[in-house]
Amino acid sequence: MRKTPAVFVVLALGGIALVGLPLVGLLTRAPWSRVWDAVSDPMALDALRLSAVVSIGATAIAVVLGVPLAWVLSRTSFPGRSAVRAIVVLPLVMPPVVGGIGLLAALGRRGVLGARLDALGVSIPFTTLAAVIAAAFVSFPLLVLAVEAGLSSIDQRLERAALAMGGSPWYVLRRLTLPLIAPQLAAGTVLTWARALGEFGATITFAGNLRGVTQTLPLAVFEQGQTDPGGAVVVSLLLVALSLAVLIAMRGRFLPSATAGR
Amino acid sequence: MTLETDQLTARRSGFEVSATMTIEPGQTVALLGPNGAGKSTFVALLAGLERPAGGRAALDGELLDDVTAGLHVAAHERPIGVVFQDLLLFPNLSSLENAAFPLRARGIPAREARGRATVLLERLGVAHKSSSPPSTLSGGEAQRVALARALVHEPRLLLLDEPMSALDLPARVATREILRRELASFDGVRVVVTHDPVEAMILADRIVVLEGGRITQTGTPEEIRTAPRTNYVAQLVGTNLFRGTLARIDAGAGTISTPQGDIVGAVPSGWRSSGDAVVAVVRPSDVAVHTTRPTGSARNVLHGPISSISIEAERARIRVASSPPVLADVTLASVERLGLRDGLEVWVSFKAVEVEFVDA
Amino acid sequence: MRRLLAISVIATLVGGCTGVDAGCEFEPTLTVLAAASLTEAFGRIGERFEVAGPCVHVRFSFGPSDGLATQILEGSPADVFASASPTWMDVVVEDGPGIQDRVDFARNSLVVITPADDTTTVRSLDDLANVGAKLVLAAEGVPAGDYAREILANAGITDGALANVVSNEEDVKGVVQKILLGEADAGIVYRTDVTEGVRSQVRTVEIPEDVNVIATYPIAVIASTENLDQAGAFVDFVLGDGQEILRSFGFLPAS
Repeated sequence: MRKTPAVFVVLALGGIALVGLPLVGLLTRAPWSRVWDAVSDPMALDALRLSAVVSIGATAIAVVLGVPLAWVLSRTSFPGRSAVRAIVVLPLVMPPVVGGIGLLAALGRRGVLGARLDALGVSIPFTTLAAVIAAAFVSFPLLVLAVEAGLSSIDQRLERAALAMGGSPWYVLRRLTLPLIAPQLAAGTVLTWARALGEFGATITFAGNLRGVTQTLPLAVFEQGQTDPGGAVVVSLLLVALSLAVLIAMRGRFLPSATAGR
Repeated sequence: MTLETDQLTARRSGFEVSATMTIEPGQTVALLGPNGAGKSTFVALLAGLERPAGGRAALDGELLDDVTAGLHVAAHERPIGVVFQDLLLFPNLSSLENAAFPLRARGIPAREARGRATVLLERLGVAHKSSSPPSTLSGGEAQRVALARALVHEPRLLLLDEPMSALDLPARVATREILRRELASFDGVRVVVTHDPVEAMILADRIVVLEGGRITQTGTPEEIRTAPRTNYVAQLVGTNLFRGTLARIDAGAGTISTPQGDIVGAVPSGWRSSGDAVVAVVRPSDVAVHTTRPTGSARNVLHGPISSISIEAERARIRVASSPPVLADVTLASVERLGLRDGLEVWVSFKAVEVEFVDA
Repeated sequence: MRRLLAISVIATLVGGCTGVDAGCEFEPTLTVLAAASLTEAFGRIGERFEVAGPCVHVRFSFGPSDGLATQILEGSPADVFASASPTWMDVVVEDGPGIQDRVDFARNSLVVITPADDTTTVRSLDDLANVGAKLVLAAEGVPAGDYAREILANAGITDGALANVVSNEEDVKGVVQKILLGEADAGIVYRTDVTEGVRSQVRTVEIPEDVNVIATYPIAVIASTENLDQAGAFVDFVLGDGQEILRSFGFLPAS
């Protein structure tokens, strides 16, 4: 075991405290006597159901749109490619509430696209779909970045060889490329899902806050926290438990950088 | 099943490869040339992995490329089998799945594909590794799986790119035989790309020499060996060839001044005058290798690092980067005794009388 | 609470107490937690207070009264609390650190607002029950939300209107924002929320007096304050010169 500088030990402990203390705090503050009531409260269950639907829906959108986009960014070159890449990363650095305002400006009743949809009778804000879109918006970059990293780590000569072996471009994608980036794709999907699960600012701005329709777990926790911090803690622990379950299932393979190139 | 190319050309930044050739089935053709001559680029052209900048290519009269007509048959639609220099076996598939890939890619059902691939792997002696991933195979085993993958769908054109460059000596010897056998029994057109003349001599019926993107010579291995047309070919196939200007004749000896250095040869009196262009040949078996500066009467003493050692059945061919560079044949025992290895600074010597003049 | 901006008052530029001025040895900062609907009025009051009063700096935290009360219970270092309903002041009294000098300092009535363009069909309170109308309210527990629901009950349109609710905002300013953005057909907010800046972009629909609710705003010094004198002075200012300012923003007098 390499000798670790003392300073590093101290700082590392600080890092552990930074992320560990809130969790410890949650566990200590939780009114364990009320847990069952708080967890089986219809508001919490509605929020849990919505969070599942929204996070999975957002992740699905991110994967379906993100894998082809990552491919295009990684394997082709076209004018404006770096601009596109910058735009794709933008939701990651943009404050989520700003993202929500942007989504309204695009899809809201007076929005660039939304006005036209509204004229056709299709209205997106305040619907569960809006919550899905908001979550997809903020988590999309994570999927694209992970898959792009995976694609870049593949020896492209393998893909050429597969073409020479008679594989059509689609066949090569299906049989060689996607299996080779499976670790990065999986890691990216999990990160995307986690981000979608925790989304708050864009959701509350674009989709609003309505129980059973748009009030996901983060929104429910927040609203509950206004009047009942104890209950909010319990519902928060629901979220934590959900996330922990998935992370344990991934068992340490959830960092794109750690899995790129094996 | 003839392969014809007509000025098939590839252009990279500042580099062009162009070749016109006709290859009949039933003979193995080796595309021989130094690194950077364009061999791999030409293979990529034949495989359809690159679009040519000019010319035509056809297999059995069916056009694969015709630049003026805008025709380019994509790689995956060509009836070709390729063994790549780095093998490029698919890491996510087992050996059997690798071998079966060309069949599955063409829509052959899984069971039939696996069956045919197994037969081939058995013939090549690697069936016992069917379920192993490529990363667990030895160099020779991987080579044979790659060969199976290239043959399994009965292509009409077989391309082998430096098939043995990645193998160590024992594997090379074993694989050579398998390769020769498979090539002999292959019905279609066979093209082997290599920089190793020994490989070319052993595997090919005809050799096409590619230098600087152009064909400089074609012929049987014997023709190439006995009548090399360029310095490279001469160097390559086992003769030291010096091309230069005759300078200073005295007492039956003359200095040949080549761009890379001077050598002294015995000049028959009255044969040529100073200033004449001459070509001289020195047999590698006449060149002696020393690890310290030799004493003795040899008029030519050069030194430089060993740039390669090629071990053959009964002797070792040493290439020394002296000025000019020289090929020397030594016994295998000498290699060991002198401790010869790449990079070692050695002296080479040969006598003036051992320098043969050929008509320039 | 979304607007947890501490409104940094620039009164020092106007010429209040500075450390250089002989009269101020030190300048404590007063923390005032106030209902979101008081944003504009208390902002102005804070400016005037810093100019007129002792050497003190005021910073505000605006948000829903329920959320602010909870913050106080959780130990937020508030000196003064101004709530949009007595309910949440009572909570601070019963479950919290306690208060001093509780006084009702203003009242407010509510109105319906709609986007100013023609996209909305809401022209009266009863229209809130129209099928397909999109209604935004403050969440339950937020005074504005509770008052709104009380009004709907008074008018007998609870079922119809609540079915039209598309979002429960965390404070009344969130309702204003949704209407300003044109995303909803109507919202119920305080009359004072229709500020000068907002007036041109919304249409105000009066709520009949017989069903409307008058909100009573109490203010108090938090007992755990470390700036007792300054906190008391602030409350006095709100009750004194502050009344005129509150009036100018549309608040009703306390009685």
